[in-house]
Amino acid sequence: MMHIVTSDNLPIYQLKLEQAFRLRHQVFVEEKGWSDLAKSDGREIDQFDNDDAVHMLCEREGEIVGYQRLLPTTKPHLLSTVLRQLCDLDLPCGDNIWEWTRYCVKRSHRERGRKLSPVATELLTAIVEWGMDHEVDQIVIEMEPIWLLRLVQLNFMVTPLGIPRQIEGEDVVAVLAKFDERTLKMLHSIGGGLPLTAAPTVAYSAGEQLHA
Amino acid sequence: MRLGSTDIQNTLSFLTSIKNCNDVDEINRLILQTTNSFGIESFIGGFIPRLTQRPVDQSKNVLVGHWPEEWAKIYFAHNMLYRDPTIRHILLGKQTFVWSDLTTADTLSVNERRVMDKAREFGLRAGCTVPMLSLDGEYVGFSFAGRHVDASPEAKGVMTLLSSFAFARALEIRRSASEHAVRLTRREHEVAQWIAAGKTDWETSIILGVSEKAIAKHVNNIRIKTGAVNRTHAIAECIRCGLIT
Repeated sequence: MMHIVTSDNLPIYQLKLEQAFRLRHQVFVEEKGWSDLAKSDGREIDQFDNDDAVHMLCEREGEIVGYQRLLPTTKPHLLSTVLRQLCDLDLPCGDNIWEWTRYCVKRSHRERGRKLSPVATELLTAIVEWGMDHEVDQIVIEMEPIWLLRLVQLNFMVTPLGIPRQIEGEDVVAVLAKFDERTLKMLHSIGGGLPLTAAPTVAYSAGEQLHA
Repeated sequence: MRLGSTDIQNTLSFLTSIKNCNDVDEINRLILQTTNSFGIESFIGGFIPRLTQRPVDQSKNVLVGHWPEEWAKIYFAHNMLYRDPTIRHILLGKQTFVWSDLTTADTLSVNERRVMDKAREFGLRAGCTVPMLSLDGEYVGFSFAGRHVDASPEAKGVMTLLSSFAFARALEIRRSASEHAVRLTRREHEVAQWIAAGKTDWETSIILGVSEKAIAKHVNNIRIKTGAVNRTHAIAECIRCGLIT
């Protein structure tokens, strides 16, 4: 099931959020080798994990197996600060535009094939559903270009904000992705949006975490 | 103007135009027109066939392209796909690469080098390949080539973006074409198969255990669906569209 954690309900989610920070450390530091994010306590936490952040946690049998974070574009976020070089256009900014970061799925819950895992589908569906409930219809994403096709196929209306650039040996592109009912319909058709407590049946991938 | 802003503007105008493309020829023209300044003379984009696919079916994975026909013929007929280092790199899930990165490396096998050398004979001297992943987990490759190709990071970046959006559009066009395609009901399909086998309406009615009138009605429906003028034409259309074999 999904948990949406904000500054409002943070106290009751303290333990689960701890697990999420550890998952982030496992995926981004230990697996992907983003060593500047390494922390001696095994929890990956940065300056953007502040009161404005919305954390989305995917839980399976008491364990946090998927995570993503949304940041308001009206406040400092990755594209406006540390990844500014990825944006060749005006910075997207507005209450309806949030930045999607730290998307990750625990290794054990990725598909062995290259399809979208149930956890990945649930995370993506959660963004769209949360967005529709909060008058948010666009997300900024910094991602590896190999996933672009898939994003477009999911009925996200994708506009690049710059040309892909190399960051620490990896190609990264910033895009603005707009979504609506068609996106949700597509996600449902591939297995998202089942009752959140039940395990979805449809299948993502080894390197499925996006960049930021 | 910020550095690189022309590249993004060109990409954005490509995006606007690609949405208005209604067939593959239009997509092909638009890609050539947009990548011309990078020295691109040929390109090809398609799903990477699985090893189990017959050579004759492999070329059907190609969705878009403007590629030397003679080279494509030799390539598929000789199963070069499995000796092609660009394909090997796509399957490794690597990021966009230029061919000179491959050929300067010592990691190319003798057979792989032969494929690249043979390609040069058809004007594909330099190139850039963009690996992608489709929603259903298939690997997709998009290769751009020419005698002299701009291998700058900016050119590579633009080609990466164009590929993804062009391929997505080509998939949409293909899907909508198949949605508009003629579909027969199970009964109509059976009837068409028997008529194609030379049976009369009466004979077919006995085989399927229904009235002769019912068969005549099915045949008429098949005729209307295929836009045929008579029953012979209808059956010919069914075969031509691959509805029956």
